Amino acid sequence: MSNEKTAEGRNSRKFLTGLKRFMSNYSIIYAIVILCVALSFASDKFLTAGNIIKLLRQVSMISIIAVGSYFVMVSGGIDISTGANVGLTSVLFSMLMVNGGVHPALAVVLALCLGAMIGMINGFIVTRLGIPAMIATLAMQYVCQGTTYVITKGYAISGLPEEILFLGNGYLFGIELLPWPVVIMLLVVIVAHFVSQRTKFGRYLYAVGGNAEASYLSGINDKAIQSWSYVICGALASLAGVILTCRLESGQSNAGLGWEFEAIIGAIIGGVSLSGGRGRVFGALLGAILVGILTNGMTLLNVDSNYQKIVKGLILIFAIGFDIYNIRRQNKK
Amino acid sequence: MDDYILKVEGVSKSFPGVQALKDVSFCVRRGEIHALVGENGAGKSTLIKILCGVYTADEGRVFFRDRQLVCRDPMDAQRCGISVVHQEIKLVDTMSVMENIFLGRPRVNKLGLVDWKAMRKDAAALLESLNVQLDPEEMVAHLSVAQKQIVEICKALSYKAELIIMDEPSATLTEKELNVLFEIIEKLRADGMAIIYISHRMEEIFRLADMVTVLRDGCRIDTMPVAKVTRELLINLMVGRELGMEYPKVQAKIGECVLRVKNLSRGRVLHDISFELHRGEILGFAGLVGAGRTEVARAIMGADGSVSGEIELFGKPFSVKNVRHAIKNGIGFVTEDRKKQGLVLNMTVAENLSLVNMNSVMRRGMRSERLETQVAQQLVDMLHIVTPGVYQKVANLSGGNQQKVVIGKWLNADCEILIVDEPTRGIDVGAKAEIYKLLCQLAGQGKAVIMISSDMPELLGVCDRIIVMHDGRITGELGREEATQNKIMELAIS
Repeated sequence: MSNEKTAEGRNSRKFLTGLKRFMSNYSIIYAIVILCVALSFASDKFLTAGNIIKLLRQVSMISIIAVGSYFVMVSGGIDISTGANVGLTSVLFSMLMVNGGVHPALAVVLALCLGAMIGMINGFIVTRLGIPAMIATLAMQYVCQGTTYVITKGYAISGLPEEILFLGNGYLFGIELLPWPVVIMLLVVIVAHFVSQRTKFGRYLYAVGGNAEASYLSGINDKAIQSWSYVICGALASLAGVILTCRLESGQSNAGLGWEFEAIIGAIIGGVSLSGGRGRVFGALLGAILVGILTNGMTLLNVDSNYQKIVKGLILIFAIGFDIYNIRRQNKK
Repeated sequence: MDDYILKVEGVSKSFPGVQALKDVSFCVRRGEIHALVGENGAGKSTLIKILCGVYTADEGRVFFRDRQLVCRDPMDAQRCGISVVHQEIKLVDTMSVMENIFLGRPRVNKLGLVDWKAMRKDAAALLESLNVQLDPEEMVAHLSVAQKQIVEICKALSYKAELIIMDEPSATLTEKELNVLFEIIEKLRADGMAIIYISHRMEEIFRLADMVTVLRDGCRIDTMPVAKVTRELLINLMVGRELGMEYPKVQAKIGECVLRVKNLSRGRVLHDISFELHRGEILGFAGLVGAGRTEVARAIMGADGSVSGEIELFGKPFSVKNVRHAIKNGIGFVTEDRKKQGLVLNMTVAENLSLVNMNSVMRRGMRSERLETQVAQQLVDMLHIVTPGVYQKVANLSGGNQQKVVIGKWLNADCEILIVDEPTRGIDVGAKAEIYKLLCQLAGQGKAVIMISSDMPELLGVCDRIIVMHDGRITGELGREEATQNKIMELAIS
């Protein structure tokens, strides 16, 4: 009997140390909890089922992009073309089905390929032409935005086939707590976590982001790794674009406007370092959730969207400052 | 009456783990070219950095123009009258000659605007004083290396420098450019300028210098008039020390040739490099910094793109495509700078150890944490890496243990040929001995090792053969029995 007790004690201790490690890795959880508590006091609408579902759906798309940004940032780059990528995907995805009569499933695949291709071009410009990632992807942002407006002249594309709309509005098994966007996001997060932690590619990603020269001299094709990270990011941005389109039930040229910013702040707050080689998928996810809750809360409290921008900008600066402070402290050790 | 402009008295400086300078004293007169010589790591750079305010001495004093010199930074030193012309030129390429000369303190007129006319006149006058034909408005990017050096000298003069320190100014110059530079230096001397001249080239010292000070292991060995020394004596003084350390050399059985390099050349960096490497052999590459030893290694690894010449690997022609290709074919490369090129510092010991050969920790296409720990633990035990655990970040390890991790990751890749570049730089004596032992063990297992090092005693202690390089060429090869420090030095500076 005493044996049973100690085994039980050991197990619970193991669980506690595991939980402790998890919490210290993701201390952002505290911030999320505090924010939620504060918001539930400030607004009685915050903790309603309707709001939570809405929040989760909104967050799911940004989170998917944040995971994409995570890949690029860990490999030492940055991608600010994701928001524009969402818009272009939304428009082309709708046109494929509405004007081209393409089967919705094929249209989804083609949309993801489009995003991957945008990412590939980003990767090519950054790694082969040696143009700084910030500038290269800024240029791509312009190209995508411009293309979107040229195609649509600003009009929405409506009349999407009914059978695809579930991706934005439906629920898995009809359960209210499992909206499809959230399910897709969870799948993305799980796969991304696996890829980053359990595959060679994942390890190389961190190595290249941490020290590209040492990686190259260890036989890692650093440029290919970086290029792939942009491809993944582009494809994930398109996935978010597909979900958004289904949710809006139309292709909108201004879809995803500014999302690249939300995703990047999310990733940084979640501990993905701007200087590469550090961060985790769950971190990026939690960061994106935090940003989502903040946006949701401010909207509930009727904060003007321009003020929201100011707040988010300040948070970004603060998060980057914190990141740099952390790295300096570690380097000093 | 002595006319000393600079007196260095008992200067010492130490860094964590190294005593860089020990009680160094010497004096420089006005109108004197004073050569400073010594091996790599003898303390020349540290001494200069103290003179120009980058470092502060731990002990001792420096007098300049009979006043104690207290400089906080190079700008301060420049204002006092000490200027340094560095080996790597520090000019702004996109600016004109005159803008560079007056960089940071442009001539201004009464309105506080830049006075281009005055600047151009002053710059022209400076160039004139050196008898140089150079347009003050020429863009620096268009100048040759020698011309850039002249601009550096003008910059020093514009600060009214009375002591100019030249740190290997000749390293990248052609014979003709050298003559022009020498004429200028001699003219400066005639004008009463004091010059400290650092060079590895004996001819230059005998041609230019009046006095020579020899540094070795941070100590001043001797200061004497150049007229009274011979080349042999100087080399002896530079090398000096006897083999003081124990080297665990075990003669391994030399087997067949695994690597044959023929006429390897790359641009202006490598010329006609040919050599052979056998199983069981440790082949040393000696030479001064910049002689092209690392470049040979990088060429074999395919790290720098196209090279000309032939490489034969295990008896078959081998045309290396990139680093991955070289590794696949059994060549490993322990790089010189472990922090920049060897390790991913924010990764753990285990992660770094499996970086070259991820397959060793993969099971069914997935990384296995258990396998990773196992592989890492084996290497940690074998190499006696001191770390709290395999999941410690390498950044938190000491230099010697970091170096062992770098070597470990290549051992994990199981290469037949291992190239080690400065494997013992900046690590303590105990770790050094372990690394020597390990290299000898590898040779004993029938692997082939190329060891690039600037530490001559270690080359002599560990290698079976030593190839000496100078200016991108092989200048000689010495067998284990015939090799001495003096012979290596002779070949390295020839």
